[in-house]
Amino acid sequence: MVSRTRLGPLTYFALAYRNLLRNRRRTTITLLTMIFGIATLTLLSALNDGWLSQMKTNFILSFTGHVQIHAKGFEVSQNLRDQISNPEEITRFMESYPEIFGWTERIRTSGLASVSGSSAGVQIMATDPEQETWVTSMDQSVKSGRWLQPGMTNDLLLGLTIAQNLGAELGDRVVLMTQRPSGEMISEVFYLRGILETGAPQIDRTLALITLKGAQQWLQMQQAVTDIVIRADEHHQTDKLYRLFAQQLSENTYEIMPWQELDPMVRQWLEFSDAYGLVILIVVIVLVLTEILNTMLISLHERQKELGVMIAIGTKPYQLFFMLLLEAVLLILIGAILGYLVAGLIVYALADSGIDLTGYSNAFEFFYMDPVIHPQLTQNSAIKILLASLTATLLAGIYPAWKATRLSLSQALRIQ
Amino acid sequence: MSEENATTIIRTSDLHKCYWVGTMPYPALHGINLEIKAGEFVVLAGRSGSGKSTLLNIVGSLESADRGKVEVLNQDILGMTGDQRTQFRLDHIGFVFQAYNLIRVLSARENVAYVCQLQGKSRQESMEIANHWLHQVEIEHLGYRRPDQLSGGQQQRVAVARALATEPKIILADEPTANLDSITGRHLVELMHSLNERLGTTFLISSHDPDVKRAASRLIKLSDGCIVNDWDESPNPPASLAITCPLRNLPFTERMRLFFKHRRNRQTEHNKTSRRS
Repeated sequence: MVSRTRLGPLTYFALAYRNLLRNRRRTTITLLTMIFGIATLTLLSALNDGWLSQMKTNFILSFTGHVQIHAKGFEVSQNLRDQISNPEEITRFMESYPEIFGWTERIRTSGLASVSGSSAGVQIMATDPEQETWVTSMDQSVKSGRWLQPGMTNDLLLGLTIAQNLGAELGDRVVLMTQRPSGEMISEVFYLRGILETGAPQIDRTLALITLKGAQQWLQMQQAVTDIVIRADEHHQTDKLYRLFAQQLSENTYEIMPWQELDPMVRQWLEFSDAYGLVILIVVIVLVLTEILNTMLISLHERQKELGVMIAIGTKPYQLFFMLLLEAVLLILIGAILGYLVAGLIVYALADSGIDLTGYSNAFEFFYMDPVIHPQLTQNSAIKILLASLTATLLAGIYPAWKATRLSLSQALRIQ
Repeated sequence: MSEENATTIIRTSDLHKCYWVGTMPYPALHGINLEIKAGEFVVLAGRSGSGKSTLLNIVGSLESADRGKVEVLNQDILGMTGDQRTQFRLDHIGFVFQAYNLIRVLSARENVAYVCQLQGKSRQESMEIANHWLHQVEIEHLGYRRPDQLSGGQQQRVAVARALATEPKIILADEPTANLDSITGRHLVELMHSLNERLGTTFLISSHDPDVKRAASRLIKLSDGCIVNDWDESPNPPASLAITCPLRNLPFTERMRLFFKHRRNRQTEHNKTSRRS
């Protein structure tokens, strides 16, 4: 009967560690490659995470909030008949949820704006001037003029591009025309009090912002609104809030939409960036894998005779397998730790100042991007890189280790 | 089991081995019949290519044979699986190689202790055993040195200590003095001889070193894969040997038999590989 042979973990470790030091120059070069690869990967992930996070924040805070509640069907129909007639029923609970940073009610409809003979289609949005500041940073996007004031029901703010297209200037009379929920066409005179530049072209090109009270009177909607917009305390609480409202509100009456659903283009862009990050991850990991594989195979080739002797004197193939695998694991662990450390230091150094790409600001005008990127390493990315590195190690370590177990004893012992 | 069987430690019958280079057969052993008793100090002599190392490797279960039977300690080692052979070597056979073949990254002491650890002994116990055997081969004071910090003779002593550390019944040594100068070689032979006398360990050594041959209790001469002479306690073999095995001039039919056997084996291996893939 075959009894089991044993080697203590210390022996495995000593053999692996000393074998790595056997050819210090080669091990150093391999380690440097791995450190460079993992540091680059970590840094790229941090940059990617950084600008994605900024983009997400800009998108959410410029207009949409984290979660929106509409009457059932409004997002598709954009018809004022699909309204929340008693928003108080929903908003009275808002204060009791610590996850909610702020909320506001809005009315959205499309219409026509005319100034001294010029006219253009606009997206009319009415909001509570005070509540809106708790949800979005629109009040900080006022390029000229001032933000809406409560009680000033004829105040109007226009997006920069639409104002330029209409040739409207501050103080101008602007006639807005739209339909009431009943379908009746109406128009009203508003006064341009401010011009907004949100950085999002689709908003700046169409937005006409008025007060909620003014709109409710004008459209004869009493207390009714079309949107309730909620800002979460943190981005990651979006799902929790979504589930909360989904549980409490009837899906036959309301539609609850997280920010990802409100602008599919932004969502697709974020998903694309994730996929792009994954491609970079795979490329770098394949490079690291090839380097380790190369090192391990050369090392295996050089040590064929010694490995043969080890088998001859009683080492089992599985013991050789673990011995060689441990070498690869040690290499990647040291490489990963040092790589993380290098990347961590760079991320730490750049976290506040960021990388200023203002020179390329044209490229950042769309999709709510900031020209200054602040690298930010998320837990998710760090785990992803670690798992990818470990997978690479296993793949790069398993093959040479398996090859060692298939060594022809007689041939190995004949090597001079 | 008869008394004779009880003391026979190695037995080979009709042992054949042939190496192949492409489709060309190179016979290495041809019908070796051999019995070695426990405690013998046997030297396999013969020219390079005579089959000494091949016989040693087969007896040591490092290689398989094409035909025949090998019993070591009454166990048919050719019928064992790879793992069983490894365990058998660990438990019963010690090896001393021509090029010392110590593990480069381990110290002399760790090299000796390594095989004890393979046997499942604790690190501390293994180190104590290693110290004991290094003392036996008179280099205990060099135990901390790595192989590249030892002379050839010192490395070979470590190899002997490693071979003895598992307390095997048999030690197989392949040209153990070939890389040593004559004085160091002579010391090593004396050491192995004294260990054989004191411990009763069976030594089977392949060598053409006259000092090793002189120390032999039994000298077996191989030529072209056949035993051509076998002397007990005979340090002075006759000047001429009767070469009875002209393997290089194998008959055509025998060569063809070997050729087709090789083809069959290759086909079988190919089929197995295809099935796997």
